[in-house]
Amino acid sequence: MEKLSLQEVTAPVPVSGAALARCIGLSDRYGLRLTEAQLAALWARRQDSLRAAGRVELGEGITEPLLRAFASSPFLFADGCETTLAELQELFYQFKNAAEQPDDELLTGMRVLFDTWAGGSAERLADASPRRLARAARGLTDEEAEDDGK
Amino acid sequence: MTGNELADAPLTEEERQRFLLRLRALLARRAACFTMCESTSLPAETARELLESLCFTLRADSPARIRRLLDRDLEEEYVRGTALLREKIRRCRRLWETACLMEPELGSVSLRETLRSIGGFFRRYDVRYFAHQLPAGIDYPLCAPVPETLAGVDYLTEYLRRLLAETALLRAFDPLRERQALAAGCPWYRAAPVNLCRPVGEAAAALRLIGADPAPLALTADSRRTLAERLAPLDDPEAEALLRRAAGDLCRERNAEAAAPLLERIAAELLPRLRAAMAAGDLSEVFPEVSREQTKSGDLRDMDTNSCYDRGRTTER
Repeated sequence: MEKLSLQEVTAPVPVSGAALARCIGLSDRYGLRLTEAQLAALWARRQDSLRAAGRVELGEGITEPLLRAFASSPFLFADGCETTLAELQELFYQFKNAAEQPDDELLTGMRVLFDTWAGGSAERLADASPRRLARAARGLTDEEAEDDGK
Repeated sequence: MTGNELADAPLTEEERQRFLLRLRALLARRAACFTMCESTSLPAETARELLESLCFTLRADSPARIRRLLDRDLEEEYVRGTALLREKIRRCRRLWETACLMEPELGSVSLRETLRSIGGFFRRYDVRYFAHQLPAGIDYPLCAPVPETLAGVDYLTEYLRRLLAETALLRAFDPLRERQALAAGCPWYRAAPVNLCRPVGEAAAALRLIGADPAPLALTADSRRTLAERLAPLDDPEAEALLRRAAGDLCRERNAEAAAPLLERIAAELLPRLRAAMAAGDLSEVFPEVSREQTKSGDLRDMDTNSCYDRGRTTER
């Protein structure tokens, strides 16, 4: 018998209605007003990001925790936030490959740097080193992180 | 279709999808344990290894087995499978201890290093996440290699079983004579990863076939001629049967019944080489002249006196 392949076992499953409803509630609370279609697209883009990073996810994934971590960011606006969230999602998996930090620690570090050092730019955040992310997650100030980077 | 044929029939698409769904759920739980619930994703390579380990533990390798698993709680089957593997590890360890105690006194570095590396297997083997892996360096080649379809502790157990059968055969002869026979065919047999059993078994079976004493493990020019004369008039099935019979008789006579199937196989596999050598008119390529000066027991002074078993135990402390 042929071996069961990882692709078969980890084939994407549609996002649950409950998870969608939670995310819609969260985005509404912070005025992001994401629609069901936008969220579903964000979930779908997760598969491309995972494939690009050479990773697999077996649960509902990082989309909801990511939204929870970034929804209150002062740099995230209703207009175009789904694009920024998709970029952050892609960055998240790249950062995971660079240093296997726990998800919540990495999300904390990403959020801190996004709001401070990166000035709300996902492109700038992409240049953050794993060390800078780890320091940010531990609550070190941006200046300290800058000193560390020199 | 009979019941067995029905059980072995390929899975239907519905059965396959049902199993994949349940396997996915179990894999997700194992992955969560592996990452200590700290990560929702993991590298594809790691996930592939976890999946292989899971399938190995569940023995999900045939349609019949998967059908049985569909009727059961997969989590319970996984726990049962892990317990079974732990029992297999215990049995495998006993085999390894026996193999270390019975190690032939032939000074083979590859055999010694292999046994030492297997000692480390019992510390490194990860039955929870990587049960299909074999964290040991196995350099010593067996007469009959272990099928590649086996994995993890199953592979190692079979390797050690086969190694013990070889050991049983080697212990039926004088080590000094064996060293001489081995050095005649391969002077660097101690350093090189070569099998020790085949040359000894071939010489012994050939000598038994011509009615000579197998103990010297050396065929003279006369013995080689006699052997060629005995085999020449026979067709291949007859010659193979004769060789197998000689091997079986030899094992009985030397109280090495455990090695009988192995020696019969060695003897049967010898036939094509004998035929080729007979066609060339020179059997000395198969049975080279053995020099009694080549290897004396003193030559083993470079061998470490500690057995692999002792070393394995020391490392583990």
